[in-house]
Amino acid sequence: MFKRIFLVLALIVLLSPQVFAADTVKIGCLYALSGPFGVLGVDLAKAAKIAVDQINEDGGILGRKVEILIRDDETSPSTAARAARKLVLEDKVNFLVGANGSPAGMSVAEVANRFKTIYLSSGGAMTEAMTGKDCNRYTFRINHSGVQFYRSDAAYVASAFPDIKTVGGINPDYSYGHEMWDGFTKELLRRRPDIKIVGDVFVPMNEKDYTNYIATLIDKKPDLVYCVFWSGEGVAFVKQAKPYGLFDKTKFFLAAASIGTSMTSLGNEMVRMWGSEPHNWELDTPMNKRLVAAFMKETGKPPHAFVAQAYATPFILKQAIEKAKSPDPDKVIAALEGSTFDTPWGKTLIREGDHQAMGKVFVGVAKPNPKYSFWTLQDLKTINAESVTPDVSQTGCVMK
Amino acid sequence: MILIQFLNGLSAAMLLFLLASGLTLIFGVLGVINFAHGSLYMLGAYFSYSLVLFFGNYWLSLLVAPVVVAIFAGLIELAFLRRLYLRAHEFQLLLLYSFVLILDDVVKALWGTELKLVPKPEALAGSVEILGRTFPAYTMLIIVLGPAVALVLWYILNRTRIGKQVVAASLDREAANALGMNVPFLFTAVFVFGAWLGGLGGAVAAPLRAASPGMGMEIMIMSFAVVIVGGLGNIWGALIGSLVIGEVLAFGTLIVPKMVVLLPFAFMILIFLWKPQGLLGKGGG
Repeated sequence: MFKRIFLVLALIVLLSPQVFAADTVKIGCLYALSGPFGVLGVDLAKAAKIAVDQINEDGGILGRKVEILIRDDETSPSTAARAARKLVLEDKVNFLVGANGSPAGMSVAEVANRFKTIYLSSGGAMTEAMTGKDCNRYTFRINHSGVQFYRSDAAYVASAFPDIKTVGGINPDYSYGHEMWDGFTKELLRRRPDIKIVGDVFVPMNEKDYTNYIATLIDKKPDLVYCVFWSGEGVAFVKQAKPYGLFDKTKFFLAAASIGTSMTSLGNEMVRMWGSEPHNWELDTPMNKRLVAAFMKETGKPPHAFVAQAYATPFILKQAIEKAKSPDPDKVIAALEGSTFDTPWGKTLIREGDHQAMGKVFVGVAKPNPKYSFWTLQDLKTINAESVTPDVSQTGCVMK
Repeated sequence: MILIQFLNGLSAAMLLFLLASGLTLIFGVLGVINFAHGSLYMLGAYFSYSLVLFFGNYWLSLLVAPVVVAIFAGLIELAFLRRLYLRAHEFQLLLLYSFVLILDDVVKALWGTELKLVPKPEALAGSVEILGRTFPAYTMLIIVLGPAVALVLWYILNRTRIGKQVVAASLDREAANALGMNVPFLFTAVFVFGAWLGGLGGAVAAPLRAASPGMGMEIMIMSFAVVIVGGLGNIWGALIGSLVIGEVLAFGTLIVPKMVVLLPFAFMILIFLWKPQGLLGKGGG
């Protein structure tokens, strides 16, 4: 008889991990952990992990433990797709987050749609197509769409620099670089038809030596330069361009969440430039203070670029799942669409029609800050992304 | 104005020359195309990164890093490569390419996959003014280093006894052997010296381009273009080839930016059609 009791007890013990595991909410997380973009991706992954740890400290989601599985997307669409598929099919994650770079983001969005898994894009994949012509029911974007930046940037440049006559650009030669440059110049010329575009330099994707391109740009003599080189490429670019005097000869605008990474990486080697970021980490909100304290402790850096978005995403999931009272995808989609969520930068709406988050854009100038060993973005102008985002009808998004 | 482009082209040329000269020397004397040369360049960059951290001094690291690469290459030559001199070229190719793959992974294992930034020396971290243009001081170092290395190479090969032995061995291995020259020793010496040049290239390039896995392959492709244009086996050819490719890349970016990546290879094809042995190459293979 004792043998039978023992057997039953043993079975219960053996089966219980499975029982508890079914209760865990699993989040599959993809960021660039290697290569030139790793400078940002590693920080985004850390922020996501910090968020999940804090959520578990606070009691989990619907009382369940949250587990985050972090994978390297290498900013490559094929690697991202493979890793996403594995996370969904083998690791059986309930949700996908992250992806660095628009090509990787788009391929994860495709995987999410095919396997009916909710994907919250939070790595800075900003191509308009993700919440535009290629939008899908399972994909939501927590970070900005490129248009939210380039419209804000153009508005700022148009009014802040009345004396500039010529504008040039130096950008990475892929979809993102072209989208941002085309969008920015179109918006700028609409407001300032007096400005002349004197040069658009595009640098091939794997090129690590920017010096010839820098020389070409300087030759064109632009009064202002618009640049969207991001993460490690942005840092490398600033370092290489500095001794050519680029930042003395022109006003340099490092746009779309790149200037923050440069400021935190370069310390006192930073140079005078303007830029736009998706978050102001000096904001006095409780959620932001919690993020800054934990992130600074872990990395010694403030939340730059999309770190705040990477941190907010698990919290947004928590709020949505608890609103839906279930992690069931259809219920969570309904809870996400059209709802407003608490984030470190304030309350953010996720637009129902295209699943695009309406955050904030902070534009300013990089200046030394006596409180820290790095420069910070100051004299900030805060723009609500909603005011610069086209209507859903204009985005080309038809949600099936 | 074209001055900055021209200077950029010169510095690219000098970096290429450091690699191409080693490559062409090894081929000229040993008859081996060192496919692993780019990996030696990569090791030079990574050793430079670690040594700068260790010594806290860029110049000391610049002195030591290429020597470490040279010693490492010497060990490879002694243990592996010299068994294959009399075998078919395919074996040498396989061996050297295996090292490329192995070293790529070793580098990732030892240093990680992220880019390693190497700081420039204090003295050269700023800019110089040339005719009203601003130009990086460190890049001027590279421009000056190239001709200095070329002169040292010329002197060694033409004015020293061992240099003349090396030239003799490259012209006729059997005759040199018959005359009592220690050909195996010469081969090792040349391989080590070529590796030293490659490592020096990596150490010099590191503050500009950062140390990263795969950086060897990128420069190998350009170095091959250089030695083919200049002529395999000829040091002056390597210098001319480097200047051509370096300036083509610099001005190509200005004039035909969308096609600039094609230009070095277009040149290679032209040379194949017009003068297959290269601008200064000896006839035949």
